[in-house]
Amino acid sequence: MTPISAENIVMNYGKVKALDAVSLKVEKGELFGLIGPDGAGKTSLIKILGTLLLANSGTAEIEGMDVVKQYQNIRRQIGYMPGKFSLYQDLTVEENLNFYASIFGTTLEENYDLIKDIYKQIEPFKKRRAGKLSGGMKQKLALSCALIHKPKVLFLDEPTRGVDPVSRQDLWDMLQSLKKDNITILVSTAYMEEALLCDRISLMDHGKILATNSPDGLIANFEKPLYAIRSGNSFKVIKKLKDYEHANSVYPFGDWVHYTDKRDTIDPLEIKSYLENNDTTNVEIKQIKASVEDCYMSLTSKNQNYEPA
Amino acid sequence: MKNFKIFKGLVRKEFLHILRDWRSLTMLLGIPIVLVLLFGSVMTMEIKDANIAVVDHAKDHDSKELINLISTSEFFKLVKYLDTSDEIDEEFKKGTIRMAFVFDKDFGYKLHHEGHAQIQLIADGSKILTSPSLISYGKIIINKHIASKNPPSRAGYYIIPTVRMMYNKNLNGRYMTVPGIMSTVILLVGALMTSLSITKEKELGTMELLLSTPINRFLIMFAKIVPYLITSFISALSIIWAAKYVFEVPVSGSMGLLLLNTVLYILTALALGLLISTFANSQLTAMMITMTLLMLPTEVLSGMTFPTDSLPVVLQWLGKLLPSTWFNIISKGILLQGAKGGSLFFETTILVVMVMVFYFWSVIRFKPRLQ
Repeated sequence: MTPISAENIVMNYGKVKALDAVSLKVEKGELFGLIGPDGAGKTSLIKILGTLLLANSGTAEIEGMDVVKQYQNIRRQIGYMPGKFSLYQDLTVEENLNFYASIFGTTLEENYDLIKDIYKQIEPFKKRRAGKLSGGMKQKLALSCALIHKPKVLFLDEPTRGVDPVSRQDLWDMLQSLKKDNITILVSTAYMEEALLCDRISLMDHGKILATNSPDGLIANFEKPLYAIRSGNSFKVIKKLKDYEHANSVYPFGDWVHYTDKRDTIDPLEIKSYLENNDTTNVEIKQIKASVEDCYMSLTSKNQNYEPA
Repeated sequence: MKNFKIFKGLVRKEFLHILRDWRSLTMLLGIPIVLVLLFGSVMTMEIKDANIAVVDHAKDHDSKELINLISTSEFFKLVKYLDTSDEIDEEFKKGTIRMAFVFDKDFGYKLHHEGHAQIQLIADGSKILTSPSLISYGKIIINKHIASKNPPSRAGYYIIPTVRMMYNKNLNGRYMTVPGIMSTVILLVGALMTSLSITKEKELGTMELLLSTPINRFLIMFAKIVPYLITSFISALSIIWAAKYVFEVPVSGSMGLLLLNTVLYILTALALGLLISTFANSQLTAMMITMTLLMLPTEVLSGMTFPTDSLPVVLQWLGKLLPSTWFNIISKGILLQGAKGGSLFFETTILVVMVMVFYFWSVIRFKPRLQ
C-alpha cells in the first residue's frame, strides 16, 4: 500500500491554476521533498493530501484511503504541521502537547519515546507559553504535537521558513531520524539546498511538477557542462553573455554567473576571450558540478519555453 | 469513554483560554453588569423630577391643593404656571416641560356639586419611552388624593383624568425595562462569546490544525459551550442581583425557576453564537453580524422597550424569531407576575427548540475542511 499517491490533481483559485494535473507517489518510510518557490503550489498540494482542501479534480489516497471519502480515517493516521505556527500561543508548551495528545485519545507519557529526541530540547521550557518561544523552538513544539499520536504519514509545510540556520539543521536531523520509526514524510521547502537532505524530491513551479528524482539522480541528469564565471562586474558579464551567439542559459548565482552553452563541447578560454574582447576585465571561468538550483533553473526555462538567453 | 476524554481535553483547553486572557474575562463578567446598571439607571432616573407645567383655570382651593401635592411629589417638578392651554405646545417644543396638567375652569365647584371634575394630563407623545410612565404617575397621585378625601365607606366625588396622548400603555418604568435589558445583554454577550471564540481560532489558524485531527465536529462545538455557560451564568447572576437589590424589581415568583430559565436562555444565546460563527471567517465579521442581528432587533422587536402590539404584524412575527422575545415573557412573568413553571411551559419549550435548532444547524454548517 502506497502511503501517499496522487493522480492528476487540479486546483483552481478563481482563474489562477494552483495545481495543474499533479501526480505523485511517495514510498513507505521515504523523506520526500516538494521543492519550489512561493506560489508553486506546494501548500495547496499538501492541504489536499492532508484532507483539508478539496481538489477541483483528480484523486489522491493516503495509506490506501481516499482523501475525500475517508478523510475521517485518514486524519487518525496523519500528522500535519502547517506553514504558519498554529498551536495555541496562550497555552504552555506542555499544555499544547497534552491537548493534542488528548484529542487523539492518548497521553504524552504513552508516546514519549517517539518524540523524546525532539521534545527533550524544549522540555526545559515546558511551562513557557508557546507564543513566547523562539522560531526554532516553536517548530520543534509543532513537530512534537504533529507526532504525538504516532502518525504513519507526516505532512510538513515549509517547516524551516523563517527559522535560523542552526535550528533548520536540527529540524532536518530530526526528520531523518524519524525514518527509523518508518514514518513517511512529505515536506515542502523553498530552500533549494535542503533538497539534498531528502531521499527523493519533486521540483515544482506554477502548479506543475517539473521533475521527480533523487537529488543525485536529478543532478546526474543535468545535460550540459556548466560554467561559473566571475569578473568585477557581474551585471556586465550577464549582459555580454546574453548577447553571445552560443549562449544557452545565463543567470546570476551569488557572486558568480552560471552559464551553459548551446554546443556540446566548448573551450572555456573561448568564452573568456569573448568577454575580454568586450571590455570585461579579470574574468575567471571554471567548470562546476550542477546544484539542484541549476537543475531547477534549466527545467523552468524549458517548461516555460523561455527564449534561450 | 474515549470521546469523553477528548471532550474533557477540549473543555480544559477552552477554560485555559478564558483564564489566560484576563482582559476578556473582565469584559465578559464586567460589561453585562455595567450595561444593566447604566441602562437601568438612565431609564429610572427619567421618571424622577420631571419638569411639568400647570394651567389652572379654576384657581380654587381644590386645584391648589392638588397642584401642591403634585409638585411636592418625587416624580414631578413644577417649573411653570401657564395662562392658556395654547402655550403648552410652545413649552413642549422648547423642551422646558415634559408634561402638563390642565385644571377645568370650575374644578372645585364641579367636584363638590356634581361629584366629578376633570383634569387633563398632557404628555409628549413622541417620548414614548417615558410619557406613559409620567401619565400613570400623575394618575396615581390624583387617585390617592381622591381616596384620602373620600370616606372609605361610600364613594363620593371623583376626578376624571383625561389623557391626551397616543400612547397610554401603563408601563411601570424600571420594573419593565430592567428584565428587558437583562435579556438583551445576556443574549448579546453570550452570542458574542462563542462566535468570537470560534472565529478567533479561524483567524489564528489553530482551527486548521484542529481540522486536521479526527475530532468530531459535535464535540468541537459542544466544548465551546460549556466554559462560556459558566462565565455567562456568573454574569447573569450579577445582573439578577442588580435587578433585585439596585433597582428593587420585585421577585414575585420562584428564584429557582428564574435561574433555570436563565440557564436555558444562556444556552440559546451561546448556540446562536455558534451558528453565527459558521457564517463568519473573522472576529470582526462575527461581531458585526451579532450586533446588527441582535442589538437593535432585540431592543425594538422583543418587547423590551416598546409594546410589540403597536408594531406592524410582519415585525411582530420577526420579533417572535428572537429568543429574547420569549425570555422577556418568562422573566417578566416570574419577576412581576409570580408565574409558575406550568404557565410558562409554551415559552420554555420554544427556547428549548431554539437551542436544538441553533446547535444542530451550526454543527451541520461547520465545514470539516478549509473553505
